[in-house]
Amino acid sequence: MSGWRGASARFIRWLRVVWSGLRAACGDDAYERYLVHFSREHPGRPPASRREFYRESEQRKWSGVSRCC
Amino acid sequence: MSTKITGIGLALAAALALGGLALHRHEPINALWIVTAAVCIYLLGYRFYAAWIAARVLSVDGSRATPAERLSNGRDFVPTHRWIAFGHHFAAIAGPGPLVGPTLAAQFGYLPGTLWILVGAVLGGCVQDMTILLLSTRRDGRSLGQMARDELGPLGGFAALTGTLAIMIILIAVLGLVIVNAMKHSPWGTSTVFATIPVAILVGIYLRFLRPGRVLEASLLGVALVLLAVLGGGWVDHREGIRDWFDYGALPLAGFVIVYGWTAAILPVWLLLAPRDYLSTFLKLGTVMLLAVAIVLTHPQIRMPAITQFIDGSGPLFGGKLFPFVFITIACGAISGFHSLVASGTTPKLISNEADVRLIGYGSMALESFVAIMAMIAATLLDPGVYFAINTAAGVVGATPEAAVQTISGWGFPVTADQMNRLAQAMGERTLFARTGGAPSLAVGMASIFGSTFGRGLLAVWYHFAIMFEAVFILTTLDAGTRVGRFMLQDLLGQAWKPLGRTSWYPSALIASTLVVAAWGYYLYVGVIDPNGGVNILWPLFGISNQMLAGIALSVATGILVKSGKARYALVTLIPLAWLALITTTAAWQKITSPDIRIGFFAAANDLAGRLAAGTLPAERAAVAPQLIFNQRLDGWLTMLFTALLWLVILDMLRVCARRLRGEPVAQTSEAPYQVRRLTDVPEGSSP
Repeated sequence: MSGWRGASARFIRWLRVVWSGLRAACGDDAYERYLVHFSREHPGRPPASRREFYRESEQRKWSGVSRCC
Repeated sequence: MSTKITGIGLALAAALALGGLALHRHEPINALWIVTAAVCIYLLGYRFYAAWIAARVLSVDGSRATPAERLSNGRDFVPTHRWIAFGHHFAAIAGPGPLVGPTLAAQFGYLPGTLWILVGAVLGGCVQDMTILLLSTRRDGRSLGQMARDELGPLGGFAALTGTLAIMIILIAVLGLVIVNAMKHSPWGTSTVFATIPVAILVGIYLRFLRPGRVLEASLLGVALVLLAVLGGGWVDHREGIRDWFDYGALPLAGFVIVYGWTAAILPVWLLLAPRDYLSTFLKLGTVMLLAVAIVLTHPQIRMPAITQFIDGSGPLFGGKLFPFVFITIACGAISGFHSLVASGTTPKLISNEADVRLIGYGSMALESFVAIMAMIAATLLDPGVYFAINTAAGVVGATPEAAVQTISGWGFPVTADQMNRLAQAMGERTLFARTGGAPSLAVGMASIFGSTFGRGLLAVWYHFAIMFEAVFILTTLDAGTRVGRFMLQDLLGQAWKPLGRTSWYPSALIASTLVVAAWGYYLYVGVIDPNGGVNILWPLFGISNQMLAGIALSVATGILVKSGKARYALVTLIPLAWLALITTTAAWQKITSPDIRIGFFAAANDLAGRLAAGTLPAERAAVAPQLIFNQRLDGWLTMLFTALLWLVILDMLRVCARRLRGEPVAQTSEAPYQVRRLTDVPEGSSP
């Protein structure tokens, strides 16, 4: 019984890693990362909203070469 | 010790697989031999050559802080886990080039192209990508153009900028041509590709207004919708009245692509460009993995001979001998100058540890090269007769199926009209004759692989899935390229009149976008009216310009290596540079001076002009002849310009190196000063 429980806990942990990797790989968690960074570097100042952050990052991404042949 | 054992094991496996290839020269061989040889060679290159370059040549230093750490701003400078950065970098460098190039180069047989994809990547392309990535990381993520200006001089910077703009325009035109040829008189393909546009807009609105920044869920939604669009296209194809709405010839489709490109360039990025890029990235990574699994599971036989008679220069897809044209044609799958722009763009701002450049720079290119190997397998598993029937223009083999099969069978590659009809029917297309550009033949190859792995009943669905997959990221490259071209042109125009250089000033954006679209639109138009298919002219021009850009990047790298006292290791970048200079110059020389009208631009122009003057051309050819004559001459001049730019940069680099070696003063290095790395661990879930 405990073996089964341990295996399922390991499986859930593995799923979490896969899920967070997938989110990171496509930039889904970029805003959360930004909040962590911002609260560490500029404590007390209001960070950009999710919407503002997303708009700005999109604009920046497509101002340079980000796709190839 | 374990490294040695793995190395010996890999070397033995590679030798066995290559030996297998060599022994099976005159009988059909299995694709698994090629896959095994490729994987072993990449691993050997990564394990030994890349490690040696990182340690000795580049002196990669894991204790040195990267710009992502020093300039961390939570926005573009973000220390990122190496596998996540690998994913971002691979998604950025992987495009349609490695799918098209090997498909065209297969006219020489499977062996020459495959060997160059492997050797070129391991000793050239991967080295270029990793070196530029490290050099840019050491310089706060500066672009190739800036590094050329800082380290060599203004000439290098100018050449890099002009070269990039030119390659962008030719690349977009040739890709536009590929997609037009894939949609030509294919209601299923056309309706599916059209449907991806509203899907992208929907995803854009979702990401902007409904759930800002929820990229994963929006992408999954979009991918589900485009898969539905593939099935919907099949429904359209079976409805008499509706299918005619999506049945177009090449010229209207080219017009559509041009208008689309212009619209996408002036619309805000969130509406079309950014959301479609999310879709294409998902589809790209998914399909590449699926294809790799399917090839291993089905391990198809390669039917194309190792080497065909067309190495003598008489090839039907494009003219020119094996040397130098196989190298020019493979282009991106072995070494791509374009990658140096990404390796000196977004990626260096993500690197959290210098030591990661080996995985991200060298590793991503090895994977890209493997995509090229898979495209080669998909092209060469077809019956050679079928391959040539799909990929040869009507102007070469004759306009009727009877004429085409007779010509092709006469080359020693038997094929019948009946066989082609049955194949077209199975793929849900009206005809597969003369569908040049590489996309339809790749789609037939992919459909056969997927069909025999996941069910043959769905061949037509797999075929149109492959077409949609290529179209989606060709259109992304087209939009993104037009946009980058616009910024570069604004940069150039701004030097003439200041306000034109302001990227946010709408009239300037409008003018620059229109000019860029007009430039590639012109090439696309000429390609469409050319009875020989246009790809035969445009692809070599693209190959030459892409390899030229790689030459510029390798010159910058060599110059920096010599300047930083690493002259004894400079051969690492100098040998690929010398090889590229040799093949691009030879190819350019032949394209300019060859008296063979299938190779020489000026020879073809003069021949056509002579026949036009003599009145021996049929009426419909005479109507378009003046444009074709002008275009061939323009291409000739453009080739000269490319070659001149490359040699200017090489000579400038040699001048700087000579000064440095003689102990004379040279421009100071722009490398950022050493700062100790404090980052300890970057979690898996970190990204820009």
